[in-house]
Amino acid sequence: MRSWPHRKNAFSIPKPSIRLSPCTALSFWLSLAGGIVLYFSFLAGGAPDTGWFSYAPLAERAFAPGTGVDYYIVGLAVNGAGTIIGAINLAVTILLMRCPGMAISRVPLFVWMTLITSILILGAYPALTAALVMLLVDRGLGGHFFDPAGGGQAVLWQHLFWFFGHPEVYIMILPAMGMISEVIPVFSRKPIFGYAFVAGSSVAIAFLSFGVWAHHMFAVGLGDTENAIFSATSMLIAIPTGVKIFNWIATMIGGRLRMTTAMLFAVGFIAMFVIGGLSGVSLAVVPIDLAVTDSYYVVAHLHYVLFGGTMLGIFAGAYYWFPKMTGRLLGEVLGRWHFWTAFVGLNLTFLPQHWLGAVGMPRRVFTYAADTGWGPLNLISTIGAAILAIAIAIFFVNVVRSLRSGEIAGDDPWDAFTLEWSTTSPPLPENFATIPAVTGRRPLWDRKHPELRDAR
Amino acid sequence: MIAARPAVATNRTLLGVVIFIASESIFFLAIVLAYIAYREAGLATAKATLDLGRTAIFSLALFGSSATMIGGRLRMTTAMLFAVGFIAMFVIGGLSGVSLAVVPIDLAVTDSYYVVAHLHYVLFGGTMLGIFVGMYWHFVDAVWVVVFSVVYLGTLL
Repeated sequence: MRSWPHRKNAFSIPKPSIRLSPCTALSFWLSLAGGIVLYFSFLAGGAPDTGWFSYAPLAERAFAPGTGVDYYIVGLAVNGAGTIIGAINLAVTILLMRCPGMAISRVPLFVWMTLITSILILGAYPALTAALVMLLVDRGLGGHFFDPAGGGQAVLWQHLFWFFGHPEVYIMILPAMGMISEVIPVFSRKPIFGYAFVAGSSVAIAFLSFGVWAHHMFAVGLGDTENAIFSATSMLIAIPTGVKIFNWIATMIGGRLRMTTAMLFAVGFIAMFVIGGLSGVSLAVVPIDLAVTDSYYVVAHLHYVLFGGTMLGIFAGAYYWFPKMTGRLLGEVLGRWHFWTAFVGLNLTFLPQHWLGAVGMPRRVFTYAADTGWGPLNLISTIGAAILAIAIAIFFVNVVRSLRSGEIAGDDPWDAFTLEWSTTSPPLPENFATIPAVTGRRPLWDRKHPELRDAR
Repeated sequence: MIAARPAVATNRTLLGVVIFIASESIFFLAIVLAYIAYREAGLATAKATLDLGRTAIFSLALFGSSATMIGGRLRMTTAMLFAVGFIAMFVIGGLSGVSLAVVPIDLAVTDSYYVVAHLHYVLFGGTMLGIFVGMYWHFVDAVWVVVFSVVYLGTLL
């Protein structure tokens, strides 16, 4: 997922590309190495068993004596270094390496989202690295940063982790938002509605996302004042997010919609993300959060955002850019099957979990008593998960089949607006034979329809 | 472009380093804040173990190294100095590393300051790469100003 902007941006910002930059290679290999270190823990005496957030003091040596947490620390630190280098690389590329005419107010919105994502990475990851270093000192050198018995504070880990962790969810969603901001205009045959608002609302999201971390900690007991402040900032973030939703819908209104698979996924993104966003606002209300914290309600919320949002957005991007990457269209018939199984599967899986959480089913339990009455809803959820698995299998079958015998795409199968569609599919080693002219936000549209050029 | 743009808006290496330093400062900020949060608990130990006078002298040497670069012909000279310095220091670190690879020597000096000396020659020399050197060196100084004030001068309070 994080390597995607490197590929795509190289096309959208036509200048001798970043593909061969040693920074790109270093970023990729460090990220991969970090992942391998993390997964190697399975072979080396047990995976980290303290949750993805690795709360202290559970993650301290006294309670997690195995090597799992050590692999977690090193893996995440190495992966984080790769991610930071990649973010520097992308930010500098976007800020300084645009071709003549490609003002920052004209770059595709996916590039805008990549820039904002990079800034979030640069602000959030160092906090995680600092926390990891302290945990390593605690575990390896007998430190007491997170050990209350030695004068430390376990809650410090939560502060540092969530200072990273909440921007991280925007790091995961913003690239997907960027993808559908490219897909929806092309398949609505209209320019994006309110380009400046889509870009500007992302700046607002990035700014606010560094001030909401303690909404993950309402149940910790920080105090009413702190909880009220973080509740308010968390609700504020719904405003710029809502602005985007309205912009995408306004782009579709009055357009000539072509419901390709990419467009289906993009529209699915909007619908699912609205549900996830609304349950998110409900969780920002402190009394509601206290009632359902660590329950399946939270699980339902985050999966609507990350699966209904990020994954559907990535699938939209996959169907949209697959022809540019490979030269062949990604099959539309299997694509429909993929979309509808994924859409039905995700709702069957995650919608019942709202009710399960509301009636008190906690997260991270491997079983529960029969008299709780949670059985039927969990059965629906399990059936949904199986359908989701089928959806993913259909996607991979589709990719393999399309790579082998997919319809030849040509340079511009979607009659698109942006520059990557003006070069060959797959692109030349340097992306473009000559540096193209950029006359507006939709340079390829301007070239195809000189009489209907965008005003700016 | 008629008006002169600042170097950071034209030189992509410089912008990259500036962004990197901005990101690094958040890392150091988090660690310093953690220290401040725990200062009370560890103050007695800090007073007993930290040597303010000697560290002040070391700090002057560090600031001196940074001040040397100001006003000089910074671009190539300093970079070259550090590049040459890197090679010389890395050779020392590498040689002491080879000596540590010899089992009897290692048994004699293991867990001693010889190992500390070796690894600092490698790490201190080795991580200061190419064009990063100049600006990052100043940044390390700035971090040290904060650490020295908070940790060492803090023991006087």
